[in-house]
Amino acid sequence: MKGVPSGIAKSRVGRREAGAVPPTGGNSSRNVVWLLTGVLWASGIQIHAEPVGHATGWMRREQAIRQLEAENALRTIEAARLNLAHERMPKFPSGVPARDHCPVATVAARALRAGGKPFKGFPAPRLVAIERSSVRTDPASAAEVPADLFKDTVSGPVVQSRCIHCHVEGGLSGHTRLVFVPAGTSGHLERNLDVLSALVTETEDGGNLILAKVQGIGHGGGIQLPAGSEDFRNFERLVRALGESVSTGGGLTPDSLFDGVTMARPSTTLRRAALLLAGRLPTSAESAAVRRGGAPALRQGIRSLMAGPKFHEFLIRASNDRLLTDRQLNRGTLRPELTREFVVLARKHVQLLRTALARGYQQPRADPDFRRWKRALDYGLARAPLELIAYVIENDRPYSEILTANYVMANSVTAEAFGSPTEFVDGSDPTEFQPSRITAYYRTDESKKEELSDVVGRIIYDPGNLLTEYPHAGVLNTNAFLRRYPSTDTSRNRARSRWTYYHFLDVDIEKAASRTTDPVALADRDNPTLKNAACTVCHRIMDPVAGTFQNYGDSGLYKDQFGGLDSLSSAYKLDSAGLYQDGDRWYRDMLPPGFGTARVPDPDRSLQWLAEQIVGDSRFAVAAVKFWWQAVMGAEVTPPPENPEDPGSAAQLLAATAQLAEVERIAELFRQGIEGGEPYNGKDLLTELFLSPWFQAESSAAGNPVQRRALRQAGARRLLTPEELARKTEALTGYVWGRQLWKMTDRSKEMESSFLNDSSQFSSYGILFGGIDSDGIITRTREMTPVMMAVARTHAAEISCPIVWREFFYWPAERRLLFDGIDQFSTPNSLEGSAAIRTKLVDLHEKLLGVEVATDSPDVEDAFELFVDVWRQTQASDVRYTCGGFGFDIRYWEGLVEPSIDYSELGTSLGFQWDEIFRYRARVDHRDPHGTIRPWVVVLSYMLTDYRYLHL
Amino acid sequence: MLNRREFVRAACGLGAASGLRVPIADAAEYDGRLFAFVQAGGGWDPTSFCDPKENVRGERVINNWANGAGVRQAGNIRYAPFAKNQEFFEKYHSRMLVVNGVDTQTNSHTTGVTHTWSGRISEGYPTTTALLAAHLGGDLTMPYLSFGGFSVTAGVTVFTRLTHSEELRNIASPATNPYDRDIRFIGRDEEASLLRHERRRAARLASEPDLLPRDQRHREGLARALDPGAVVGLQSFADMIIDLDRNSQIDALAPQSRFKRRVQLAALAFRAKVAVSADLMLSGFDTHADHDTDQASAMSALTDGVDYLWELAEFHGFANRLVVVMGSDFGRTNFYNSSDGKDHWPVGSFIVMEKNQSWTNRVVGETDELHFPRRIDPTALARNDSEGVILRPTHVHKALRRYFGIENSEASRRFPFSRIEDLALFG
Repeated sequence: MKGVPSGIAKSRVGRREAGAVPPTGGNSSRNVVWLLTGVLWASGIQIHAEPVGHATGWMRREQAIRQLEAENALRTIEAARLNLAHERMPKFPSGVPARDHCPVATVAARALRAGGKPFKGFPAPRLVAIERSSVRTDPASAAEVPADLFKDTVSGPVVQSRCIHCHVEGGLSGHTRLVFVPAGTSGHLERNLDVLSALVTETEDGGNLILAKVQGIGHGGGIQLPAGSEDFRNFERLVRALGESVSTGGGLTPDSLFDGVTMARPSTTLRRAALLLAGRLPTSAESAAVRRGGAPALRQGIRSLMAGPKFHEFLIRASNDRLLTDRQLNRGTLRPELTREFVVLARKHVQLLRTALARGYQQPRADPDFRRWKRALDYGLARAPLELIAYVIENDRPYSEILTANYVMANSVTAEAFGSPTEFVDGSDPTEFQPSRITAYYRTDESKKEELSDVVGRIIYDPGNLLTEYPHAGVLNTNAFLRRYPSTDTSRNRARSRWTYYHFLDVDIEKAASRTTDPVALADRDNPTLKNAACTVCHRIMDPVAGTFQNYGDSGLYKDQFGGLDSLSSAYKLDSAGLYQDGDRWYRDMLPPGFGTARVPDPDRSLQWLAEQIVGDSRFAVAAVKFWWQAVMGAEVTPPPENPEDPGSAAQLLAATAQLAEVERIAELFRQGIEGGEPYNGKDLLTELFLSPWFQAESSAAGNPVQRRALRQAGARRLLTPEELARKTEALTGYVWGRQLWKMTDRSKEMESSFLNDSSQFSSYGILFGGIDSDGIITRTREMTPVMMAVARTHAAEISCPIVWREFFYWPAERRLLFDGIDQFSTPNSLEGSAAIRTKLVDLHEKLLGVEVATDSPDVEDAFELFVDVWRQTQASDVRYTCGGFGFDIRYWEGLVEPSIDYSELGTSLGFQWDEIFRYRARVDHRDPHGTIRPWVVVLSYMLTDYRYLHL
Repeated sequence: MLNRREFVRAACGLGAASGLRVPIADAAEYDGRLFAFVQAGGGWDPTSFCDPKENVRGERVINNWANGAGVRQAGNIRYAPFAKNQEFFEKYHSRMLVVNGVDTQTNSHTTGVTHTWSGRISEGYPTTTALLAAHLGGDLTMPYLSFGGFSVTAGVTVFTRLTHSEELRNIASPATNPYDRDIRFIGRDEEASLLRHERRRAARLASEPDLLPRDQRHREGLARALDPGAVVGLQSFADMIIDLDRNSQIDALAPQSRFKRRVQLAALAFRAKVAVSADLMLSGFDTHADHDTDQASAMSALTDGVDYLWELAEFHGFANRLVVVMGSDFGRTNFYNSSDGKDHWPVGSFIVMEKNQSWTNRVVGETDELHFPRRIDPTALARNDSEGVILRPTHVHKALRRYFGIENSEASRRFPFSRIEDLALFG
């Protein structure tokens, strides 16, 4: 063992007690965090149990403790000495009651010193958790031969499969001391072992350092070897064989993290999956199949939910949560009045405006025909990347096609603009997308004849000679993606590179390498991204991929410079430095286009080449799992802690390690094909996520605080997004709060917006309930606030009455969704009536909340009491409330009154056809002689604000 | 986090055994200092603002405005004659502390905002805005307001987003018809009964055994969201919005921009005593091209917005309690690029504003004529090239925490700034 870093102590515990858990992982002793329980009094020592990672206490220096016993048989440590004075712990005034004023400090390893003599005289405290482990050396490992271990267990699965992605000459970590050579290099085994050995043995505390790094701590590349994994154990053996002492892990590993956790019943998981994926409850047949078949049937049950418009909506929303391209729905993409490349589009634009002028519109853009066309165009362009992802998954195409597709998704308007004959089921419906191609793209040179009109925009008389075969590359060169991550003359596609790495390779470049803090380097003007090592550490990775976007200009157009040869900035071309040479595609003061160490072979199809490189990279599958993880789990994959001294860092590391193990497990299945399916099938990937214990975990009796903290994001009980809440309410009640209809063209399919689900941002209830606008607000609020609860209560109060009225007064019994089997004559003042009400409450709990309760359960008791409360108030009051809120769902009267909706010229629903509705209502008996309607209204409102309703 | 027993006691209005703050039914008003952190998103240009730089012979042009004008000064504060700076600095220099030469140590937006607003360059620390809310606003309806930008809470509190005032009014009275407030969907007595049962149910569900951590945390969060103080606070806030519409004096201050609408909502929440702190985000400063035009536009919107905040604070009577902190991801290069833009530069500035303070009308920190930071003696706050320190956002946040009185709060102690020099920015 090398010297100990300043302030850090190492210790050894020579033997394990019987019953202690054998060592499994390895951890750096400097990160040890102990949690003590009970109250220990001795000579001024007082330790209170507190949340993991903290101890509250009033402590004196150098108190020794004889023995710490492991409560959960995690580990027994003898002869430990606790140095309880921590540098962060403020001085504590004597005589002050400790309980009220004692400071809290993280008791990290530097506060612990092992050794010392037995301490007698007071009961031993019990150790309930070791966040990062005790320190132990396993001498037996030293007998193993490093070369054999490296060759047999480390070189292939670890170095060549993981490390070498970055730790290679020219790689992201090519500047570090750990630079390997690829397997094809002569003598790679010896050379790589030498490199590894040098780092481990010549670095202070090198063994623990490298074991911490591979677990993600302070490692730009994140977790590479989860503790407890076979690869980690092999790597740890190698480090020991190199003669290094290492700390070993505590009792908890990713494999044991879910010990003591109860999984949800298959029927519960099916219900949750159905609400998320299909926007409905499972059918009776689906539920029965899962009940009969149990867990094995659950897989098929979940997969069969992946169809229909609600599944499509799920895919679009989940994809947008990552790519955020819906921002372009409001900001627009191509500007038809300016485009000179999309010739058909430009001509259509001119034609529509001239028609509008001929019709007498002084402001031709006010013509409804033009507005509908423009709306459909913007929608088609903005949604293209998300629709491609949805198309690939819905049609069971290889997931890699999201990047390699040699087509673009288009609606009828954009397909026309692209100049491509495309088949549509309903060509008048701009929400229908089909694969299409850009076939009428003309780059610009002197052969193009055009004029820019103030009135009708660009008029193209002759498109010229540069008709282009557009090199489609999946989402990467959709205009919406390129616009969402725009470029400038100086950023030169770097944002596009950064987000391509992030979304499709699971590489966060901004975290992937130590960022220089050297002010001189940061202020270097001499092309530092190419020359200054402090900058090239990232730019040598980022810039070649930026170069693969070389053909796309700042606004995302292909070879948009005059002449049609490139997309280089004019400023660069005209720069007096004279770097530019005729025929150049890319900047000479940047690294050439490429990926890793490979260079683009054909500049005309550099982005297609990049897509092929990405989908052939093992990280693509991992990135895919992480891409969809949040949509299912309601939280991003937990990252490893940035700093081992952060509060709860050990639990976070455990969570990160366990989640990465799960991600990698699913990724490997995804690559190979899941359950006999095709490789890279998106539906199978989603199914596997729903079957993950991270989704299915339901409850836990585990008392281990580290385990509980590591399970912080486990289980499906997450707050619904506003869109999910809207869909749940629709599925269960048939009512959508604030639903309006609109059409993009006069014959197009009606589209819906609502208070909670409004892509046009007309309403802000969605934002108030934690939603995003894909622009300034890009992360969802996942914890309930008073304002969000107020939105939920408003939602419930405004919709409960119309729902109850429709069920009791308007809909026939067989159509009722909630109040079937009960009438308004069942009152609580009779045994029979009370029983009927209670039975209905049991039914409502199952339908609305997905819980099975008894008629005498606390849930039903509370709801029944509320019913009676309101019923009595109704009996005692002369006030008769009318039922408002009909207008909050434009489809409310459908099936009852025809026509019930009044449309605007643009096809937007303006409101109800009230005359017809009044006539209908006049025929309906709305009397409530027994006063039960009001109680049901209030009880329904009550149930719609239940925790179990607002959470999955 | 409260344990289950403590939580149930708190939710039932019985008080908690621990020293943590928990929702208390009648404690929904806050009369302490109020904090607005104004985030200039994208990287502002201090050399055209509070750390003005004229051009240097033999060097590339730093600022075009310096070709025809010199640096101005308001009180003890020098500023650039750019955008609407003159109005702003002349009006507010007496309540302003400028901290220049703050090295964010990065040219990355992500890292820049993390460092600037949490005080630590790596992720994991909350904003000072969040720490303030956690310590001072535990009982409030919306202690921490966020309008986008960097608002990491690290679990110490939860932020609230506010958008349109109309819908805020609606949700404050859930049972009332938003189009005709004389009509109720649920009667007053019914609503009281409903709310009582909702609270009881929430407390019961939060005390169920064997819950997974997320499940338990969310149940407790929902129960807190139904706390009487929170409900009353929201109503109070909504009343303020209604008054706003009825008050013609405010019409003159009606917001004309999205940023001002955010400022207005934050000010009303402050006035209603339901919020402690707010992150006010304004983007548009990432001026890689056409820097002068776009930076001037963004800078004008920024100073207009902050001026509007102070005007509202005066009108509503909380100006003497308001602290404003302005900052950005980092600065911009000391030269123009080929597109007349300016790229990223790690050196930035902060401005802290408060009325009637001895530490205002001052500038701390220095940069040289090319906007490189100079070393500062942490005690004397004067230039010290040999033994001084380069200021970083960490220094500023450490000083802010101390000045705001949250340095030793429970939440702050979880996220310490160890081994960082203390700067006496506030005396």
